[in-house]
Amino acid sequence: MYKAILYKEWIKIRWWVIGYLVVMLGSLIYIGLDVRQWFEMNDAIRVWLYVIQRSVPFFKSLKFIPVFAGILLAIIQFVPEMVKKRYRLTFHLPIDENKSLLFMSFVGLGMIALFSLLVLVSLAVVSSIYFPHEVSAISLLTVAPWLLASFVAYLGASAITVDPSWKYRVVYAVLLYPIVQSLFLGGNLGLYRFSLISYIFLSLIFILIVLFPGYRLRKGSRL
Amino acid sequence: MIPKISRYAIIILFIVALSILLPSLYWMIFDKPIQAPMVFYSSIKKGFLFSENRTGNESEYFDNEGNTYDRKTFRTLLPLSYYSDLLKWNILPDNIDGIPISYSIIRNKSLNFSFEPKDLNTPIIDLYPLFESQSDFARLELPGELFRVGTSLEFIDAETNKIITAKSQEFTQALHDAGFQFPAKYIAGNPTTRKPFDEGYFIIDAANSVYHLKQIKGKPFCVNTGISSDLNIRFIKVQENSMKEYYGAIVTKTNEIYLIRYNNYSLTKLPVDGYIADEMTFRLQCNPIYRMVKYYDDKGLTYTVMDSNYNYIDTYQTCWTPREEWTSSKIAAIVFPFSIERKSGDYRYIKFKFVFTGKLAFIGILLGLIITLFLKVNIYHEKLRDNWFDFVIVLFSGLFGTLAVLLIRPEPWD
Repeated sequence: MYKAILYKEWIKIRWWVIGYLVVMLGSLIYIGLDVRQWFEMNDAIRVWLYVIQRSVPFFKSLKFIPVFAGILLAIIQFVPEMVKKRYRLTFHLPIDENKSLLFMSFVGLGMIALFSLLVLVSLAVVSSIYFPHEVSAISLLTVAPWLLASFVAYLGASAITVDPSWKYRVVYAVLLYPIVQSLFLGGNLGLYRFSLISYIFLSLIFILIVLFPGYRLRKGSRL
Repeated sequence: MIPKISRYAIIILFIVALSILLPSLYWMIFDKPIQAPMVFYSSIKKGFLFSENRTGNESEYFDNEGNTYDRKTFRTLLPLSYYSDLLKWNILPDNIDGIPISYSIIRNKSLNFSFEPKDLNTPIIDLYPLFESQSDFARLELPGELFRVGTSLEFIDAETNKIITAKSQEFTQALHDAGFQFPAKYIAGNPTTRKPFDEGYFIIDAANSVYHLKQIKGKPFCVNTGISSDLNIRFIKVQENSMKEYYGAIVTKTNEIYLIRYNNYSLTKLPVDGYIADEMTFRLQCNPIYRMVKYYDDKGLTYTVMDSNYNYIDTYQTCWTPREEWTSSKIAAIVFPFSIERKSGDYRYIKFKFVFTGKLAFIGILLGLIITLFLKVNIYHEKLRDNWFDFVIVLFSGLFGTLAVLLIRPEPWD
């Protein structure tokens, strides 16, 4: 059964995967070329000090890409289910509705995790070519909340898409905005050193939130 | 059961979101600047003078004894601060108490040295440029490499991103010979070329001893400063200046401040009773006659005057209504039982910190419980027994919780 759901999910998200891959690889290549250009045009030591003393992330152009990709994935995965109430077919499958909804979420989360890994590995490679390891470490720490935001935004947008009523959609949006925004505060390196773990714990709660809208959908709640 | 848990997950996140959003919106409307007077010490009157913005753009100038001054008189009483004005008016005295004064003397012997809580709470990348401190040329030049002090001292070449072995070994050996125990716990310097000369770095080793490292004619200069290893140093600010009175200042974990003097790294303890490094801005002002220490936060200010040998002369202390006692703060404390602080002026890191507002919150919580009960019973006609946990939520989150459980209503559960 899960295999069948996985296949169905893949059909929905394959274009997203290709699109995100193209955009992400493009921006990673851009970042690599951009850093290379910095070193070509300036004294290497000045580039280092610019990054180290002014605490400027050299990869800030990818800042908002993951969070938009997360929202887009939720829409791509769940809007087709909501159109003509197709999702209701799931209730006739020999599988618990909560489990199937969670499984769909985990497919999405898994894809986002793969892309996050791609970002982390590529940044580690680019930064270790041009910078000492201290800079690589703090760079990964800096990109982490932006990647975390893509998981949170995906889960939040899923709940918004699944819920049958507009009132609740607004509530979820009000809930989602400040928490996602919390992951984009400040433009400097290493600012989330002490709070990242708290934000990760907070994000874990998001895994559960799509089930309530799912339940409301099954019950046909309109309130 | 699972959809029920999911509902509470949503409620908790909604409360978190509200406790970020609502208090910040509230303070966007009700926050106001703190009216703090500027404090000066007059070398003419030998007493404190103040200026304060009380009415619009007009400043008021006054002293401790209730005298008020016009702007020009005020400035003539402060020749060491407003020497440019006095020079323009041709009334700059040529001496004060027998100490010769001129425009250039004041300029050369005046200095501001300060740091704020943000400087102590900021992400640091432990890589530093080691300047040539006895260059043949007038200006300081950037080296081509940065150093780190881990289990040895390593220079990393910026062009190749590789360790420069020979130089690294030479400097590591010099540190070893001086008694340095790797790895370094703390490195402090002033890594900029915008300074008159270079005094290198103060480095705390694994045994808490403080070493001074410089590069002189390409060779390492490294000495144990003899600064006590029990000082519990938290922060060192180095600032080279042409007065050559001190290298910089040490802040200890117990909120003491010491100057590191040129005279064999001896320490001068500054009179900073009540200073809190995590909350207050510290400023040391030097002029040809006095040394003034000032530290302040949003609650009060202390200003101590010393002579040029750091002997105590006088001190002035003031405080103003702390933010917590504003009416708007008290209303906020009732309405918001807590808020989530993410950024603050004292801390460059991003936080995720619950700030509880204190006892007044219980009024808000009681109010929240009553409103919740009333609306659930009379308007929504909900089964209270099925959703008793809603009240636990309100008990812990006050009106945030009320809003959450009333907006995100329980479903008819299976």
